[in-house]
Amino acid sequence: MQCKSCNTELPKNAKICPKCGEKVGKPAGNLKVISIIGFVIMLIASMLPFVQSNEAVLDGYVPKGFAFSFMNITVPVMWYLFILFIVAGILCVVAKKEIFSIICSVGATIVWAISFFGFTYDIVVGKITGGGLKKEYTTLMNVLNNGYGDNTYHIGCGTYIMIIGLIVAIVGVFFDVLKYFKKDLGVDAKYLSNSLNQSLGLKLYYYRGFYLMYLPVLIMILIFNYWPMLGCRYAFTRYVIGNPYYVGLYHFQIMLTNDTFFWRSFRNTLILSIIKLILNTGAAVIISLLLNEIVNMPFKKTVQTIVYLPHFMSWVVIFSVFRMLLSVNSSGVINGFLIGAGLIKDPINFLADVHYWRGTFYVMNLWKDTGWGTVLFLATLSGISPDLYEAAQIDGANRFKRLIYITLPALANTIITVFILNLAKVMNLFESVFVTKSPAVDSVASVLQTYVYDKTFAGGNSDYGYTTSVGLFKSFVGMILVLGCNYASKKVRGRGIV
Amino acid sequence: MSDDKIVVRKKKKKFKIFPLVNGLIFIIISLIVIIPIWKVLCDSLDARSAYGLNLHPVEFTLGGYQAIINRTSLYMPFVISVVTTIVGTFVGLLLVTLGGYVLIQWEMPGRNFFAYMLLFTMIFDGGMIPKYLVIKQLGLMNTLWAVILPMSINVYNLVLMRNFFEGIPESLFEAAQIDGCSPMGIFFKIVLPLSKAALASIGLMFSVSFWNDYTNFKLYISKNNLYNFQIRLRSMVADSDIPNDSSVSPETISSAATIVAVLPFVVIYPFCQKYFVQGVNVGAVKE
Amino acid sequence: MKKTIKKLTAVGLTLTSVMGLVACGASSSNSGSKEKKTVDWASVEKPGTFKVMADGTVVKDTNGADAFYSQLEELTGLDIEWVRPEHSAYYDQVASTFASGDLPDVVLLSSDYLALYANNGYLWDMTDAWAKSETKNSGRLITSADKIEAANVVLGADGEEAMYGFSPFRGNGCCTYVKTSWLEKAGLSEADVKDKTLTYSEYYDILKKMKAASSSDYVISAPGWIGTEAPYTNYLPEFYQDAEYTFYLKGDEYVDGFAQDEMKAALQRLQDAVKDGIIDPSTEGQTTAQARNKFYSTDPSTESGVFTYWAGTWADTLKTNLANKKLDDRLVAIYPIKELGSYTERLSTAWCITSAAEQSGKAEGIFKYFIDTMLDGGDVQMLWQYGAKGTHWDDKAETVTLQTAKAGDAVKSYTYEEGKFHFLPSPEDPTALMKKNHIDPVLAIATFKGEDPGASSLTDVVKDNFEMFSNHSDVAKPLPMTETLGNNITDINKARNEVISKVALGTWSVDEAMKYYHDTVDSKADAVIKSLNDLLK
Repeated sequence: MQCKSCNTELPKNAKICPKCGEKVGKPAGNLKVISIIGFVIMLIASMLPFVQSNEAVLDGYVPKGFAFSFMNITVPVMWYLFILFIVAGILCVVAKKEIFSIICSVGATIVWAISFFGFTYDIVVGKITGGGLKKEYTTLMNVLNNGYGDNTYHIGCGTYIMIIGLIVAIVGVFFDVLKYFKKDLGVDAKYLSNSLNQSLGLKLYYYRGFYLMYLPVLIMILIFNYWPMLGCRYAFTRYVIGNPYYVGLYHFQIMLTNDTFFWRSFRNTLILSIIKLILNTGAAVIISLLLNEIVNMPFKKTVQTIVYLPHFMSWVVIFSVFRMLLSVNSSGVINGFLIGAGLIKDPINFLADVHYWRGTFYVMNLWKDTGWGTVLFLATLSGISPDLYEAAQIDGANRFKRLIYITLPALANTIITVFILNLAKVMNLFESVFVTKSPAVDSVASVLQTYVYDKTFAGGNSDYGYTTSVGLFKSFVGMILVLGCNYASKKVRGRGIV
Repeated sequence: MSDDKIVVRKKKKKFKIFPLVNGLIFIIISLIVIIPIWKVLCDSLDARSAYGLNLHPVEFTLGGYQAIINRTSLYMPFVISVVTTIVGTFVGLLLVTLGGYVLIQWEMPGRNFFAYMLLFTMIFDGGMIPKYLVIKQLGLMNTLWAVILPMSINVYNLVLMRNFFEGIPESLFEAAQIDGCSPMGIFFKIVLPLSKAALASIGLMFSVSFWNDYTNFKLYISKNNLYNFQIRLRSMVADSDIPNDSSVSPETISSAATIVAVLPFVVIYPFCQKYFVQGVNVGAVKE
Repeated sequence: MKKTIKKLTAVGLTLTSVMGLVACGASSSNSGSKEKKTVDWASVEKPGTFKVMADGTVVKDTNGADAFYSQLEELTGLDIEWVRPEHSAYYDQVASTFASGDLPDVVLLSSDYLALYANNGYLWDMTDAWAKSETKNSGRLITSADKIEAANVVLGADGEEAMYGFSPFRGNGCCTYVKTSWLEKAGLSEADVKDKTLTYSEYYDILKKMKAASSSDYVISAPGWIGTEAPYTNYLPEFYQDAEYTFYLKGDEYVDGFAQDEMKAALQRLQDAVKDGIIDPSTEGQTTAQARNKFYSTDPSTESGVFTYWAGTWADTLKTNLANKKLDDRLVAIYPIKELGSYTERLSTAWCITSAAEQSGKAEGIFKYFIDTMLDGGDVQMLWQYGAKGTHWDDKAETVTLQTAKAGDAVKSYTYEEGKFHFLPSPEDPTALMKKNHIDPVLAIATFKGEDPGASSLTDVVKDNFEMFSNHSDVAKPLPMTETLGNNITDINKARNEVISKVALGTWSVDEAMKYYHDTVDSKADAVIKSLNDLLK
């Protein structure tokens, strides 16, 4: 075989011409992402209720009616089979064997249909001695036609989403959407060495040592990052003590419609982290601008060393330092000072009063992180050419004008970058609040993560399923934020954050 | 600074006002940072319980520190903190260097798959409760592995390490390859010796996070004798869970504990500052 | 970027689902039918080895537990494998043990956990065993024993009430201690409060006088506004009076005590008392240790003068600690004020036999030989009450010397003659004597056959105080555990605690707070009340 553009003789398995870097062989087409999305929709649908009771969701009541999906089928093998088809389908799409992926999606649907019509499902009607669940069994056709207990049943969202997923998975195969987004990848020449043209087996053999080296990382990632993702299925179960059982979307319905504590925590998460972000970034910008004006280098270094210091203290230390400063009696530092100055009469409990907690929290954050926040800004400022300033100075621009016309424009990109990087982490607010809050200030301080912690570990009868669904909501919003910020980051500075 | 510039400045008589004010501002800012820490230090050396506004110990005592050295319930957490920090930093660095090195093998089949797998964990996570259940199912509850392992696989640090490795000139690898060096050999003979700064920087980041860890201990450890110093400090400060000792006040002991908790990093920090700063800059500027 | 994201998604989800195949839930359904068999108690034999899980109220490993274990084995002939989690994390460990399904055979549980696990079918029904037991029919039970065991009668998984646990001792409760030095400073005397039932206004007047005469910011500093277990109001009983914190049976139906008028009045009293400087505002979120430290404080601006705390042994401990701080004070435990009527005794912890023991057929044997012997009125009861002979106590002629806490302290030593019961220094802390083992001698629900051999170890302070408490207290009423209750109680209590703290600190008026309470959790409270009332039908 010969290369089309330079006529060099090519090695046997070559994908890229070793001489000119031109791609050889026929273009494979792009990944059919829509089809993959379809498969993912089907996978999610397998956990959503196929059949759902008509019972209204009431605050405080454990549902009497039931929901049915693969998660409470009496023969779970059918679910595994279904997942096997989905995985095979996705792999087929990735391997560009689209015809087989259609076969897989049809296969998955057939498995699902058999499960829907052919098998019985569990109904949990109580508990038994010995700590198990008392179960009864029914078919979906039976509950749809005759109801069960006092409840009537209808086709649930899982069925509809399953059908939508199927259509998307099949139709998606015929649309190559990536074509419209495709850019020249501009492969670096260093990635085009001869080994690319070796066969896969040879490459695997060559890299065997590397696979061994990666094995510990892979195992750890699978255990501590991917295994917990599977635990998300508990969001659809009631999980008290030890026996999770399927309740469909009940937790999400309760959470979004009735749980005032959840909404309060969600609101607090956004308020606390966004105000904190604005204050910290603002203060860091101002301080780095001022710091940049210092000409005495030893003084500048000393100041930098000092202001960076609090960043390395744990939140527990920050908390204990501030608790000491703010101690609630007339001999406390701040309270003593305020009383002495005649500003207040009685000592204020800054860390346990709903009026003062947020302010105290922002101050603690400023104290801890403002100094460290200047690192990136200072790096940018030091990169501005001194010639620019000199030229401006000769033109008669004063300090303020130089700031407006030279420094700030140069800094703008970094400010936006820092802002975006931190915005993506908004939902992760946890330890700083967890350490510094007390139950007394829950109404202004409780954030989603602390809500999950408090609700799960407050008593022996907590429902892991419910708190998992709150966590899943948090992860979901967090994911949207990360992807949004990633997109924004690409627009602003040409590269993403993940 | 050129001579011209000085000449230009000298023409303006008031140019000294701004640096003066600016310097003053930074002296104040430095004081705001220093005074709370100084105050805790003074209180830790003061035998009384009601301190007031003084900035020096009134009744000098070393009783707070003696209590920490003498009492099992106070020095054991310190030992636990030291152990987890050392073991955790070692395990973390091991994983991060291995992973980072493999991720720069651009032609390795599956390299992109591994990279995407890591990146996906930065987008979506399972949440606190599923992770808790996994640790429980693994039987790691109430063992120090429960706090060491989950934190030692830090994707952010791994990507950082990869960025450092990418800076190593390609020609060095090629030369070593031609000399018949195995991948492991290259790793130990070339990559690691060239990445001392990176190892220091990331190692410091790991050790800070292990030393300061509170959440993982709170979640996975419920045995008193396995608590680390942060947990112990929090319960001393917030719940007054302090051994009763009539010679010094409980406040003195908890102030002393606060100082002990920050001491290791305050001592080494001025010498390592550049590594910390380097870590942040590499993380944000390069990808 | 799109491609990256989509690839990521694909990879992530593929992995997730692949692992799904490996790890997907293994749900086991054990459906056993439950038939009550009659047991011939006389012929029940000793069980083989069994596992017992207990908290730190049974002497700890560091405190000579081995001697206790071996003497118990000697006396009863039982082969016991002890599981002893850390005391502070005991219920975390219990919860994770039950969740993992690897149950011990016997477990010590608080009333809340007893109700929870009984309701979920993890405990063995000991109603019949108790009715036929030696302890019950021995005639040595104290009069309130029935009331105490009644708290262990809860709903089982089958929806019927049965006795799922056995409490060998009473729960104890809190009474109010007043420092005599504070009384004197306020121009009052011990006689003004001792042995008489004050009314709230009289009591409040006394508190006001004390406040006026002291340089402290407050008179009372309590461990939190409200307790975390029944009876919730026990740390500030004079202010809550007859208000009920949670659901209770009023007449023939359950109501939400927190929504009643009594609670509104109580909240108003609390708010006024904080405003008048009687109660310390930092009661908010205060731990028991912090509140105790304020009672012992040597700093006149943070000292508290009145403290509601546990009766019995604690009366002595409070006194000793004050003496150690050189605060030469006496404490007067006052009678419950008129509006309060009586102090409340909390529900006791109980020994429960789990379904694991039932499945292995050991339950009856364990009851007969392990639980029923605890209060045998002889050597085994001695062991449970005072610990192991020779390690924790002794009756030979000897001189017991305590180690000193610091060099230079006065050496305390006691000499005893042959046959005189006395405690030995605690193995864990040789500076103090042992006080008790699992069963507090004043709290045991059964007396010894004949004279209590250890009676001489009780100080008069403890005996007098406990007698006063016993005569003026009532056992807390247990609340049945329904699934709806378990599901909602955390949220409801959260709202309640928020209301109390905001009213107490004066942030909200009582009416504003109650409006918030009703808006937030009314639907949940209604669901709970309905589930409780359904039980009565």
